Amino acid sequence: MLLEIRNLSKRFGTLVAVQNVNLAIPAGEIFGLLGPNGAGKTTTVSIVCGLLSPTEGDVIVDGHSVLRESMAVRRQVGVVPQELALYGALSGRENLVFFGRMQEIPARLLPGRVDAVLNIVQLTDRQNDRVDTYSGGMKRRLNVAIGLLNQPKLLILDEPTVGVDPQSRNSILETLRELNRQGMTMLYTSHYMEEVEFLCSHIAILDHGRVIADGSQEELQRRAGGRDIVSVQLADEADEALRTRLTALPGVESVELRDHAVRIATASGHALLAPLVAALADDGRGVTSLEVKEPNLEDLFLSLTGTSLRD
Amino acid sequence: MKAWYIAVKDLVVHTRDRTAFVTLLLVPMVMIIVLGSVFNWNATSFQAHAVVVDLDGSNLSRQLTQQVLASPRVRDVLALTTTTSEAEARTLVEQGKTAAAIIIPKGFGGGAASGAPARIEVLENPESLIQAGVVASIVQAYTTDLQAQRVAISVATSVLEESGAVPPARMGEAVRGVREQADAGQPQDLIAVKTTALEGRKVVPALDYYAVGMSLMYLIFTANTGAWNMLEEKRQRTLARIMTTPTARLTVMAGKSLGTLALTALQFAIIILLTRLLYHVQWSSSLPALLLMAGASVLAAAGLSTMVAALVQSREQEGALGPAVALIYSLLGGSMWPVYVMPAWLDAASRLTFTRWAIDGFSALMLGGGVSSVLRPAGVCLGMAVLFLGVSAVALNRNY
Repeated sequence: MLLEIRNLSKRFGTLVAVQNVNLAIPAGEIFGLLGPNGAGKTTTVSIVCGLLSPTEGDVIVDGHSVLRESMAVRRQVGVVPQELALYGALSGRENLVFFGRMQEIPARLLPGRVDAVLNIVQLTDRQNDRVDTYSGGMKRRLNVAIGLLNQPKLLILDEPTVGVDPQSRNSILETLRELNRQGMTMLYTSHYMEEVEFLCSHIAILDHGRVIADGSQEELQRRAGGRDIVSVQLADEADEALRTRLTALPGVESVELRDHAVRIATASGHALLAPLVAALADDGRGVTSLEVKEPNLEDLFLSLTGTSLRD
Repeated sequence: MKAWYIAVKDLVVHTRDRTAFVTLLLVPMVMIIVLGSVFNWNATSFQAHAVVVDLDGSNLSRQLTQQVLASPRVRDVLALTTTTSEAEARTLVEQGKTAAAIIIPKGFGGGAASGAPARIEVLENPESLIQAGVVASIVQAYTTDLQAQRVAISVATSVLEESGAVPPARMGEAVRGVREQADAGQPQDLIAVKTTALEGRKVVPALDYYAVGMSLMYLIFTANTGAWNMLEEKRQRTLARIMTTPTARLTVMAGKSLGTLALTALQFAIIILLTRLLYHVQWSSSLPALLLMAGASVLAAAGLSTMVAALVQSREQEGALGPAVALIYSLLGGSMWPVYVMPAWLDAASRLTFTRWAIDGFSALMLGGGVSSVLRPAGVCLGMAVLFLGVSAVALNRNY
């Protein structure tokens, strides 16, 4: 395992921010830490990158304990914080050179590394401009670039797309996916379910400082209930005769009616589509819309906590 | 080396801020010249200006104007001009062109010789009370002595008459002899003004004093900028980002302190240079002594501000506390007014501030002292710097 989080707890006075968290991340994986604001994601990654000391437990990065070999851990890790931790009065390149020096990149290698990361985040053209003249998306990309400078074994990204425009967000996510293809391991925290689903093969869901679910994306989706929901909007009001007809279709588990809407739970929504459409036509029912929705992490979070991820 | 990179980065960030540049250099330079002009004193060259009108023209009035007021020892403190018109003398006083006018009326000499009331008028300019007071005191001393002389002659004459030692026919001749002996005395010795600057009470010219005072005050303000910058980095999380790199906490803090130190040292060096070139401030004739005193002052200012930054939790708290500390140190330490006009209790309290010791040190240098004259004040400043930085190290470790 490249990263092991063992029995990790962090308390601030009486507030328990992280409680007995255990996670293991193999090399080459993008591991998602999903949870609402205040779930303990930032506290967890702050301990991993040595900014906070744990109250209990330990973090092992590439065989080094963050408690006993903090400097060795920091040499293996690149950090992209949630905040835009940049110097506005310096140019993009000056920011990179400064943080490169802090990361102990040898002077002979530094210019090449700076050029490389500028190229990755597509900021080469603006490298000599002051950062306070950059757009929000450009600052986000530079924020990511600094985390890549030391070619880390483990890249920690704490909500790296907060407040960014869709185009820049896509650019960042694609860049991260490409870096992962090249072998970089990542710990990615977010409260955006879509990002985690897009990037991460393994996911842990945090709530109130505890891991409430942990596993591969498929495993977690199965835990969400494993049922697809087919929603049909009719031209006319649905009635009990229709319910009887639809319940008889193969694979249908339940049918709910509300005015013009019909909600059907089934093991496979796509398998149900053809017999469903035929039955509706045969019955002379006009259809205005039809949607198949697979279970997702939002559903899982809802079923586990009773609240939405964005609450 | 990393501490150096952090310090250089801070300096670059500061030099790109034009507002900070104005605060750093322009404001202190203006303050020095304004305060130096307003409180313009120079104890070593104090001179009262007076105009004298001799309407009498008697031997006695000439004795006063030519031998007493113009004697070399009085001349050191009294610059005298003469006029023949009482009206002109009054006008000069009214217009503030002279501190006082000495008017010797017609009949002054005759009256004094005959024992009749004789009066010299001194017109004082209310805006120059100290100088006018000096003029009045000199004239008063002369008239008091003159009166004593006349009394002595009168007594001597009476004694001669009563003793019968001198025949009545020769009494007139004897009295004239006594008067001639009295008049033949050394009138310039009647009044002697001796100025002696006591050790430790010498003062430097106002402009020079305020060059020191204002420099020290802005040194603290500039150091505060460095402290504010540290809290700003904490808020913007750039400090935390540095902490995620393999850089020791102590190195980060050393780098930040070094940046503050470099900034204040740069400001102080430029102010010393500019005040020397533009205002001819005589900082010191000994470069090693100047470097020692300046270095100790810069360290103490940087230490004080670093301590404030370490003790507070936010930029807002520092924004309130930092300037307050700077003002207290400046007021108490003597940046705003001369330390030697302070009452005893304030004088004692001011010694708790490094600014007071720095002012003492720089004053000693301006009065011609060398390295030995600043060992004590520089030592106290360095001691305070160590204390401030020690407290900072403990607090920074806890709060960052």
